[in-house]
Amino acid sequence: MARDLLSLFASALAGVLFALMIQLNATLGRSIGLMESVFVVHLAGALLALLVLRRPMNKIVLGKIQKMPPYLLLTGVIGVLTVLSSNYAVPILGILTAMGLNLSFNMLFCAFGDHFGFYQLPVVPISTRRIFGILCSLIGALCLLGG
Amino acid sequence: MLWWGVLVGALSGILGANSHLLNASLGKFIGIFRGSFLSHAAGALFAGVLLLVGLRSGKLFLHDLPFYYYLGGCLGVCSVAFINFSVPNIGIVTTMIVLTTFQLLTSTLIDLRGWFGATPITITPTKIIGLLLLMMGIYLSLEKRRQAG
Repeated sequence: MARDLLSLFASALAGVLFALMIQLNATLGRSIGLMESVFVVHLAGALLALLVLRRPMNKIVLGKIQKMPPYLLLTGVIGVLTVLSSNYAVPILGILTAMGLNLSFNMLFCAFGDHFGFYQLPVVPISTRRIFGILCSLIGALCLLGG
Repeated sequence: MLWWGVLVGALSGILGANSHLLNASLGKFIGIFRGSFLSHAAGALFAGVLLLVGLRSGKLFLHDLPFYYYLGGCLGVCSVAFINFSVPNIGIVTTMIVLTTFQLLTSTLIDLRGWFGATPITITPTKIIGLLLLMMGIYLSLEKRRQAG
């Protein structure tokens, strides 16, 4: 019970931190330049992960990296484009509208990804409930944009 | 300008989804934190190369900018740790519903109050309806079988 409550708190905190991160990154982008901010964001994340892991790479991990599909290494490039686009859109739209668009299109693409099993992840066929949910969120994003 | 923002904002969601799916797959091979390290390090390298070839528009360090603006990337890694703690206890669906609800509520407060350099925006009844629809949409589209987020 206590662990469940702590988990709910951790999930809420993760949500708050995500929103803060997006706003901090967007303001950083407006202040020091878009590509400069993307570099700083990734460098800060890599340094913290390095601090947590201490030894991020060893022979076993390098062996696993060699065995995984090469396109997975594109994650860094996609990450750069994600932060770049978010840092561009947030100052124009405001964080709430930008988040609305981001989350609804994110869900739409994830549904495609699940349905067709992108990136070797398990196939989860799309359901009527999910289609309705995505439509609902797209209308929600339009309301945020129009309001 | 606004429509560019809309287009890029939507694109950011599609790119973010790709990033989530790729990181989920990467995490399965080498673990979530190693995956996070690899993806951030590769991103820093890629952005560093783009800066070196001349894609610059500003200055890396500004003295009058508070230091916490430079720590956004760290918050992402912390969030991943919190998600990793929650998912085994309360499941991915509850985790994502609580997470996105608080993400959207914090975003509303940031817009309303103009925190952390945001331009203050009035929250209209239409925006509140949009927010509720968005939350309902997220609740409906998350299913028990969803593995990665």
